[in-house]
Amino acid sequence: MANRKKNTDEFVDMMESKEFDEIEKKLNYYFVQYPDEHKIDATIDTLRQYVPDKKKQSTKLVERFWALLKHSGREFSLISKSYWLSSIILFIFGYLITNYGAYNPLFTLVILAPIPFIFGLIEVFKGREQGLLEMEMACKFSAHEIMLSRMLLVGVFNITLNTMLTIGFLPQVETISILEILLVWFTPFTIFAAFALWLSMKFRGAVFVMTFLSLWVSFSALVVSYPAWGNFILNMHIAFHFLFMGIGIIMFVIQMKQLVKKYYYYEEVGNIEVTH
Amino acid sequence: MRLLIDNVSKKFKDKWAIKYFSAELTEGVYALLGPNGAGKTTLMRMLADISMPSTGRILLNDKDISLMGDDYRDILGYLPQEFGLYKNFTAVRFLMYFASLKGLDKKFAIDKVEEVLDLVNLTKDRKRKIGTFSGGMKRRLGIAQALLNDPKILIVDEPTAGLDPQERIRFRNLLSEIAGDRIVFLSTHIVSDIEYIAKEVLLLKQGELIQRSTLGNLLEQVKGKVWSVNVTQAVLPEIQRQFKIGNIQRNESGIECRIVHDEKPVENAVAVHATLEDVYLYFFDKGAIKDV
Repeated sequence: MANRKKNTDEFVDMMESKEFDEIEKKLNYYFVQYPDEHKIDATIDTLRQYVPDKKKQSTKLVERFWALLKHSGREFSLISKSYWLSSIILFIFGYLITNYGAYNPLFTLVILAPIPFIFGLIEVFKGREQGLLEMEMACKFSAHEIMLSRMLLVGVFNITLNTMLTIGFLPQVETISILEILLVWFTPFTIFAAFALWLSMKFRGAVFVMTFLSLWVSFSALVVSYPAWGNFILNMHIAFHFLFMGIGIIMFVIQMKQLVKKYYYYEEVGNIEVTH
Repeated sequence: MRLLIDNVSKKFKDKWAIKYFSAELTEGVYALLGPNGAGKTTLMRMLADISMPSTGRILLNDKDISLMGDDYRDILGYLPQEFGLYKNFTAVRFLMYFASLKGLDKKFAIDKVEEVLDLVNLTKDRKRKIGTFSGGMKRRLGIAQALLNDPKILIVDEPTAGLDPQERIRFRNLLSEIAGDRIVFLSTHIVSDIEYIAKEVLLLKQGELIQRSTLGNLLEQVKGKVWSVNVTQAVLPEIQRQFKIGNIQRNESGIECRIVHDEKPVENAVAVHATLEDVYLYFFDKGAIKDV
């Protein structure tokens, strides 16, 4: 940049004002016709479509959100029954084991909380896994919207299961307030969900599941085997819970935005994701 | 209806997949012909608005398709070259699902699904699981999903890949039937797919549009440049090395070669009628003809 400016200055210095006058005279020979009204109007009309209409866009966003909710209902039947069933069975199993084994129910909550969402991501990316992504992208309700609507279903289902398990464990953890119990599982849930979403956009089904499960088993083993780690999560100050939860939610929102960006246009999608 | 591809280019890192492509399309079947790697799929994706051009724009009736959003998708049907299907779905369930993605009303969709199944000759397999379908049936189902919303613009990328000859003929007829009031843009490297149905043929080579013409005009261009000659086995390798060879057929008097060349290639060569296959051979390299 500095070199270019220096060169320009030198060039200007070299040019005598007389030379400038000569150039000006020569340029005067060229006649640039002012476009007529019709041409100006035609140009404005052509360019008008490129000017974003803010009001229209915000209305469209609301419409899109309602469409997303509506479509989530349709997607419900497309998510495999075995997913719904296995998640429910897992939670019932967790509840029974904790009760009969006299384990700490808060540990159970922390460990089980993100599992339905993690397995749900396989359902979210089912179109990608089975090679339908390109066809879905060309539809009115596009690939990223399908993924979001499925994620909404899976998320609501997961939180419902967690809440029910929390209610189920309430008689055993009377000493802690319900808010604290919710925070205990919700904080790691947000962070792990965000991480899982990031991972699922990088790797396809089997690789993603294996990677995440190995990490999750390590984390669970750590919590169970080293009580100090588990107690750290359980006894963390409420302010830290909110801090980590905030970080988790921000990370999750960032990943959601990444998902929309990635699956909006084909070029963001890697070849591995459209071949099958 | 007018679809204008205005100076469209697509660059991936330092490689141009499509270079300053311009064309104006109106109702009818247009065939994009080119060898593998010519950039056909990249162009198709841009026309389907799932990929953005690096330069240029695509206008439908003077409106930029990238700004039309749902209005464009409402009138678009797209079948990519490679696609998968939900294997545990039946054909009807799969099409009903895609009808919902295309925003079709459920009552309307029920009738439309039956209509497109009939069109692609899958009515009797409507309740079968897709996992049990043959490759050709899957492709026909793919075509059916592209037709669900009665698209005004139908973009089909290598639609006959993997179809047997009978299915290819059926597909050609299907395209001819539905092309009346819509723009059908199909890419292929199989010339016989388009011989009888294309209103115009666009030849794409290394991302550039090298010819755009009617089939008749293209044939006219290679008229007098297609030769037939009988050679012996001994000289065949030399002939193959020097010229672009189409068919090679053994007969009682030796080996009959079809050569595409500007001038008479050898003394005893006889000029013969050109076919679209010869046009392809004339404009593209020898290697590309093998799938014809």
